[in-house]
Amino acid sequence: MQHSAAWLDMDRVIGEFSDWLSATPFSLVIQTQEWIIPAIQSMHIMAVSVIMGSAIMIDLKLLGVAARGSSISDANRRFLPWIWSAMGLLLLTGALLTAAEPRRELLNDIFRLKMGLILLIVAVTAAFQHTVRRNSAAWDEDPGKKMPARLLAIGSLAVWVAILFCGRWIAYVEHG
Amino acid sequence: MLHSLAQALQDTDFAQWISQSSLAFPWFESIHVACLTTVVGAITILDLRLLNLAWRSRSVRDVSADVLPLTWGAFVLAAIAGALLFSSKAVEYVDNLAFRLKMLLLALAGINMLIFQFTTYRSVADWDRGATPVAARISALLSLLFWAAVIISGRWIGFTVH
Repeated sequence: MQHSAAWLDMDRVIGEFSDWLSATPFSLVIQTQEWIIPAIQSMHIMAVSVIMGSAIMIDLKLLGVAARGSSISDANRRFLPWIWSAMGLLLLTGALLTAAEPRRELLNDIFRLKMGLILLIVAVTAAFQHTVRRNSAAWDEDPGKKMPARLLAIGSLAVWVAILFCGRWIAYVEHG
Repeated sequence: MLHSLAQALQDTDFAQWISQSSLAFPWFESIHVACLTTVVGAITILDLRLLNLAWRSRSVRDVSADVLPLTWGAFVLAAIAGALLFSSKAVEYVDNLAFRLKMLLLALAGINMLIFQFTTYRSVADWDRGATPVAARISALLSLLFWAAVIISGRWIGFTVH
């Protein structure tokens, strides 16, 4: 990949920061106790499970194929708090994994793509939560909303799956 | 017997392709993780309902109907992707402790589900909308524990097979 001079300079700073971070006693403990990284990764995957289950339930509701007899605002009230809590646990466990192996993550293009997609889905999810709260009657009843709702369901699920795929691919790409 | 079967599987052209291609394994692995997290997430929704911890306003039968098609669909895909991953290093996996433990835990999760389905769930009409019986809560708690253990042992495989 072609990087400009500014990018190279930034990568050098990130590399130096990574070297400092991985030499801290905290990072060294995670690196040297062999059970810690798989344990944190397992928690990370459990939190991903909570998001996949909850996000798909909301998306199926938006597509009109599941949870008949309940509304979109019901689905949001039920599942969005689980998604936000799981995001908190993912941020914490992800930060610990990054502290353990900073170069593997911070200098990795797939990791950077993953972080960008996470910012996107957080913005989309927060905006969706906000508009449904403000216009719950329209979202729950108005057939005119159907097409945007379907696009939102398919698009947001695609972004979640892309984030998950990036997570697995971090392990397979070269990094600085 | 187990080893010769594993060897035969590993020698097939398709398994050879997975183990030699640099892209096949991570792709199937990503599909496996996407599907297994969907399975566990969907089952967790039903388990939390059975534990009376979430979604109490919706009947147990409705929650089951909401999540079970998704659970089974994702489980079949996760199992197919898992079998493809397995085929690429079958001989090593059959001897791997974490892999064996994962298969045992999957069997226990399945047995727990069958026992629930054919005993406690038969009287679901009596407790569909109210508090769930103790037997249902025990099944739900065991289910959460077994699936968490499936995830842990699955991740552990990655740290013991090279």
